[in-house]
Amino acid sequence: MDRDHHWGAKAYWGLTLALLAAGTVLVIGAPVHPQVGTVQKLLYIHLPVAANTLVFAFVVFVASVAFLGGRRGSWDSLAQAAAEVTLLNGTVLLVTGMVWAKVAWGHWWMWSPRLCISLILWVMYGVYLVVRSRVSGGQRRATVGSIYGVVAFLNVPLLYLSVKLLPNDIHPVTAGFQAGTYGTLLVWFAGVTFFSAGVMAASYSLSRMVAQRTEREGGGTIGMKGATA
Amino acid sequence: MNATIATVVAFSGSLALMGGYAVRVAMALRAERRRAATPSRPEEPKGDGSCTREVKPMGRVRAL
Repeated sequence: MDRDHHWGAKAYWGLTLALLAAGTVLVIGAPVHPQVGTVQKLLYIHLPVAANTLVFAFVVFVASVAFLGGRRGSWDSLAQAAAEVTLLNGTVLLVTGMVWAKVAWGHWWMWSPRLCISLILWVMYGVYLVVRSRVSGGQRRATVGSIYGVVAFLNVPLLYLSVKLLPNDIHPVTAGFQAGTYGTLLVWFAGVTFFSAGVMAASYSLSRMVAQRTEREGGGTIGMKGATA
Repeated sequence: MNATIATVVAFSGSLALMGGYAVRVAMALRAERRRAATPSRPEEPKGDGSCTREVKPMGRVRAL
């Protein structure tokens, strides 16, 4: 069973790396945008990490609600793992966006509503992890983290709705990909999503193992249901 | 700002950041698995031959 799991993980990460490598090769060969130029190629990674940021923020929300409902330690671990992936994707989102903006607009950053909401989202999930690390006691930490995880998610619909409500925002609504490049974008979507899910799964396993050890050693998760589940 | 250099640096930097984080998590997970697989300390034998309690480390043995 453990051996099967080991080979399954190897196959999963092999596929993920193959997708990311294929995506990189396809981006190198992709046509240069006639107006924006080479920097437009950054959108092949910018778009998938943007989508994954929102998806994993939703996972944090669902796991936080589930923890508050049932007090199971496994939900709290899932929320933490998803928050880490949200922050990682959000960081790549901001970095690639800023470099694109510097070349396309001539500025690293513009204080437009959509960009500000994205920045607030990134800060909130960074603070989520800092808050978790500062609160002592497994049960208390999980409760505080879950409440925070629910509140932080309010940014996600706001960011999504900003596309509809703020059509004149400086942030482009469409990426302007040329015909025939959607396959490359699809490979990147698959690669980044596989990667994010894999990192979340690994981080979740780590969090569970640490929680189980902490419980064995007599601290941390006292009073939490399913701490060793 | 040279667009090509900026694109290459941002692209490779993003992949390095993602890869670095994944490696960090994988290493921590591996260390935790090794820790879990390490046999626990020997137990103190009771009179009936069974073991119930862990022997606490006593530090260096003092010569009498």
